[in-house]
Amino acid sequence: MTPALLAFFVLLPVILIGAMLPFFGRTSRGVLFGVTVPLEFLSSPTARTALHRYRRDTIILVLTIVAATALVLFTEHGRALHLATAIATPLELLGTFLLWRRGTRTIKPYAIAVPLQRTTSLASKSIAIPMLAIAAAFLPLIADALWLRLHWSSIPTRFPQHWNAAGKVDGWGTRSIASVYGPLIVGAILLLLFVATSYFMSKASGPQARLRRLALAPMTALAWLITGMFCLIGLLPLRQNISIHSILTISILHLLATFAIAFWLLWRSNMRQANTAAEPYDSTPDAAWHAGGLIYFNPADAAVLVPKRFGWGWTLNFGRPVAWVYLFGVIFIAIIARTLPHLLK
Amino acid sequence: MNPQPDITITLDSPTPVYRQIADALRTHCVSGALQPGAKLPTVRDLAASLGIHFNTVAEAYRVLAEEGWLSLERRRGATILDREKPRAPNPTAQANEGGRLHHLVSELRAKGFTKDWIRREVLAALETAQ
Repeated sequence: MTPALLAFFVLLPVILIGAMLPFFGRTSRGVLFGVTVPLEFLSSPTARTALHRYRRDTIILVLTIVAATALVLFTEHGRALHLATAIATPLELLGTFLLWRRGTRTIKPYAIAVPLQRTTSLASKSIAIPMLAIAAAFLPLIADALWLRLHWSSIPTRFPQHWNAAGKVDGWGTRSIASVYGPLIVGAILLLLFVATSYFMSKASGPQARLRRLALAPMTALAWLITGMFCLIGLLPLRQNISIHSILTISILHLLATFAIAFWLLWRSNMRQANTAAEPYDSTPDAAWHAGGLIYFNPADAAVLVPKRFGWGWTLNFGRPVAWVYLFGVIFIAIIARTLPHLLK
Repeated sequence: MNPQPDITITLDSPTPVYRQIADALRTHCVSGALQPGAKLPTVRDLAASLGIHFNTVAEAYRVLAEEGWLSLERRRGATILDREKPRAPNPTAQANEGGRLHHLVSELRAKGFTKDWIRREVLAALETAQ
């Protein structure tokens, strides 16, 4: 892999994540830095200054980290390079979290209690999961498996299966069930994880039903990204002329398209939300949020997923046992997906 | 199709939340805002929307099902029933409910509500109920 291509792959997540961080200060429905404040306070000089400081310092932090990582990429090799690529994103997140906590401290004196009166529409808020679109993502994996079964005798006894960062083959598969079907099984397990996540997203709390529906679109796109990647990898025993670069390039382009769709949908949805005065406040009490608004624990709240106070999207309500089951399920699936190929060998 | 009405609860009210939900739904049924055949959100969906425990909503739905307002089906949610008009209450029931109404009026008067206000509210409630 050329140094420029390596730099692109290393810097892309650092830049993409960094581009989102400055927007995290103000979240929806009267919550600023994880603190519920009066709506009129949001346009006060104090709020504006705190938000401006957070955005300015986050941008400086992200640019510094991107510049430092780029410098290391083009001047250093070996351990320093690995260290820089490993810590760039965690540093971004840690720095942003500290800046966000500074904002929380500034805003806390202006906090108000969550209104004790709550209103909701009796219209059903269940969101139909695009099950067909997600379930259809399993079909190419099944077709791949059948194709491999039909052409079993054409599979060479030894074929490349893993590549290092430089694009050189460093792992070989053999014509065995584990080696041939392993990638497809891992892909199917990851897809199952997506189905579970989509289900919980469709049942998340908050009035932003529309936003939830929109978020399921990028989820479906990501499910198809997984299918596409694992289908190509699954075909490697038969089509060794498929280069790992083409798989990575297709995946990166797909990922960028998914990000673009997600950004566009979120932006459009936020614009519409800004024009509606209904339910201006987050109904989750400040006291149920811990670790600066990162962890939500409220056994009295039925929702498994609640809108995040730090960043976009939803987070688990750890007051619900099913949230723990889901979390351990995700960890279990991640471990299985990582170790299954080795276990089957 | 009529848009579904809203429901409001007050967490620090002396009336239990399940009772507030049951009362609000019954009011909507009586006023015709909720027509027979209308689907209500599932217990979990309504509880999540209101940020309360789902047992609270389940209890409210159970109360209304016992009164004959709701049909509860597992996984399919709750549906408003075409409730048969109850027969004219017997004298004992009339005496009991009359007593409750008198107690409520006395309580409101004790809290400082004027007779005019009580009369206006009772008439408004009668107007709303079909």
